[in-house]
Amino acid sequence: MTPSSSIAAPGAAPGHEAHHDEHGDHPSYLVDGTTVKSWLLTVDHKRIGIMYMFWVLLFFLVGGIFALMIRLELLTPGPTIMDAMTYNRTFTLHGVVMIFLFMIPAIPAIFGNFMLPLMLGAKDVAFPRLNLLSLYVYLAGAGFALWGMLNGGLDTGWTFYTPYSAHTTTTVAPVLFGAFIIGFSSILTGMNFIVTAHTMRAPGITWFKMPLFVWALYATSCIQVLATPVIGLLLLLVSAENLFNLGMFDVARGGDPVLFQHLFWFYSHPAVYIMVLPAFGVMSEVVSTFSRKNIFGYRAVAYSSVGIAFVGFFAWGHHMFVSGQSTFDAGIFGALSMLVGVFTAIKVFNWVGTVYKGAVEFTTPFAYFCGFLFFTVFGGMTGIAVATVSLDVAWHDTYFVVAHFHFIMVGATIMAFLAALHYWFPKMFGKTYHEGWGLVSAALIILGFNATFIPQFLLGNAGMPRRYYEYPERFQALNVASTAGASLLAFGFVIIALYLTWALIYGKRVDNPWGSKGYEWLTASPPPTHNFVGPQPTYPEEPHFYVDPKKAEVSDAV
Amino acid sequence: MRSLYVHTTPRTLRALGFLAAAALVLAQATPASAMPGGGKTPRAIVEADSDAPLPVRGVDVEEHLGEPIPLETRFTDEQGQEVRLGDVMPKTRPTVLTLVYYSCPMLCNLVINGQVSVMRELGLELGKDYEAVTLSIDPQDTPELSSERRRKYLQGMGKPETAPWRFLTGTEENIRKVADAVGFKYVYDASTKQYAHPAVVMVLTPEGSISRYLYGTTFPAKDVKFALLEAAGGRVGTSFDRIVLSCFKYDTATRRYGFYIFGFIRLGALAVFGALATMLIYFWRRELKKGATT
Repeated sequence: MTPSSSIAAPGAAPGHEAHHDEHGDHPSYLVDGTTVKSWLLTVDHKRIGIMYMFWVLLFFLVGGIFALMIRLELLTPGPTIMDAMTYNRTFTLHGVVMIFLFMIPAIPAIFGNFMLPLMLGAKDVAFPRLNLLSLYVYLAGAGFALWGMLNGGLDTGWTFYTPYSAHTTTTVAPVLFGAFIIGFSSILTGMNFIVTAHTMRAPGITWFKMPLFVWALYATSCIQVLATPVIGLLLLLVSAENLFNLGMFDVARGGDPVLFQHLFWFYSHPAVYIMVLPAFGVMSEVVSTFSRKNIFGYRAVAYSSVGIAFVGFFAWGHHMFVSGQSTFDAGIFGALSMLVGVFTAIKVFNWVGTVYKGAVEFTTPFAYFCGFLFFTVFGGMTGIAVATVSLDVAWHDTYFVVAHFHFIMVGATIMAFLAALHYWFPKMFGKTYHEGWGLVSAALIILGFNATFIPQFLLGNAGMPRRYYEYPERFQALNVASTAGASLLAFGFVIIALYLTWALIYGKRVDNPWGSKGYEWLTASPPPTHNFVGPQPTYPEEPHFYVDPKKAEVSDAV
Repeated sequence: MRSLYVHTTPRTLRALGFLAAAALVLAQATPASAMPGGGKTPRAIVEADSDAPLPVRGVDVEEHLGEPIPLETRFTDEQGQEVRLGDVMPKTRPTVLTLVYYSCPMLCNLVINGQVSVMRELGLELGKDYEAVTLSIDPQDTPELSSERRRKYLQGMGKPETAPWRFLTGTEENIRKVADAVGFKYVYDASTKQYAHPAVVMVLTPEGSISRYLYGTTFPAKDVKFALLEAAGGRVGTSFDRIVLSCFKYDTATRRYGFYIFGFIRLGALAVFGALATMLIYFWRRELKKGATT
């Protein structure tokens, strides 16, 4: 905080100088043990993060292929490449895979695992074995889900609404049970992160010196621990209903189908913030690094994460405006939903305030930051629109809603995921990628994303319902545009896969190519197994302290 | 699931309840299968299962839930003293009311024996948590018969003579008043010189209104206990009992207490929220003491 402390300890981490000399004795985590067993049974948070990355990216590929299949099918008004039943299964699996297997674990499990202890100056997370367990629980759940998908798949949509999901003949139970198991992985990771943030901080890192990514993870973890049991219970109930026909959601036998919707959205709405809060955290790091400025309004950004986590629990009713909810309830839920927009806007203004008068370095992560800002603002504004009951009654279950949540939830998360991937790639592997290709693919992805979903906003507004297999001729032009955008998007991802793989093998050796002053960069890249060599480091300065000490007195940085 | 409950003792019930309350995460499929409305069993089958005799014309129970019973009616107690019904009812505890007659060859004995055996294993104490009143529907019955029956049943329960289980006899007019008030419909069959009547036990609130009807001749301890707790409205039983009760609900289709999924979810949600809140409060207090939040 104080300028004098920064003069006293410019290196910030005492171990920083030493470990280059001793590198031979402290190999990086990547080469410290090269057997398969040393990876599969590791308790090193970094290796667990890398293993998560492998699987999560694999499922991202699977979900992406389903997405392309949907877009290809919708290229023409009639049947194109599949029958109606296959189409139903395809969009269901797209949703299930992307949400439960990709987006929920993506940022917390990969980058959270990898960066959280580094950012706190800790050797590992609080419960390393639990951390490994969470990976295998995730894989077990994914296995169940995949088995169900290969053995017929399901056609309920990812929302599994009753009563249909209780009666469909497709394989509902294994997929639901898979998602149920994955929930435990989510809870374990959440618990681990909460305890880590509380107990593992190095001397000098107080709550308001924690990197904002940690604040975001903390808020996310609270949601995970609190909300996930609800979906777990619900998925069990629906599986049981489907297998044993118990009548829990059947009005004729005293059940209640709307109870399902309440419970489902009580988890699934906060789940949106499980996905997007870590994305906000990543962006706070990226914008500081590439603007060479500490975040503007640190406390506002930190508190707004907690605020979103809190308000997110009271907004679930906005999914049920047309499910027989009273007008009064609908109005209250609508207003509460808009509060999320207020907190998000606080963040957006602070990010923009950070860039203002910063020394911007327009790298690939920063390009994704720009895309992110656009998607968050545009998606957020449409969010306010669909939270307005009178408007949503018309837009409900149309492509407008599809486009809205792809913008805010997927757009923001994907942008952050890619930004994190590029920003931390040198941290994780000690190598760098080709910046030119990075910018090209970023441009392709941002343009492709817009080209995919802006037509869907228009389609929805014109009245095209979601999840339909066929559509009238007049919608074709926009559908073709959307499919073209999706192809562009896919092309961008292929380029990324190619140059990152190339960089992994032939990339230039680097340590901290960004000159970042985030806490995680204070150790070597890739870090040694125990993260720091020598005694536990202390942190006299806040993260991203870029102000020149000589000018500190006149600084207006907060 | 039901067969499980018939044999449950209060202790295993408590254990079940504890599982239900504590373990949202461990939520197994078992409780889920016992929803209210496990409702597939139609009433006819339930009645056939419950050892009731074949339906006789004019024999029925018309449930008058929530309605008061005529407390001002006067009867003769087992010592031959005339009492007001309202005076033998406890004012602070629920009451188990049965309508039988003493010369009854079959059904009444089954009902009362069922009542005795369930009262023995209830986990609630006669006199402390609830009281019982048995009223004869036969105006010919005498206080001597009352006294004899009373002694026999209290011995069977291992209770002292002073236990508050009153046996009443009375006039046709007063009996009818009570029977009509509770919807207990019985007829006298002159050819056999017997009364045809339904097999039912009623649970009354401390204020003397009808809270629950339990049918049959064997009564699951769980059902009777829940009915008493429910009637007492929180004045009887431990808080733990009340937590367990919130997970069960009377199911009018099966006429049993069934697992109430929403109560279970509510409890589970509270448990999870409480656990997380405790953890966060613990950590934050620790950190605030250390002054690490600046």
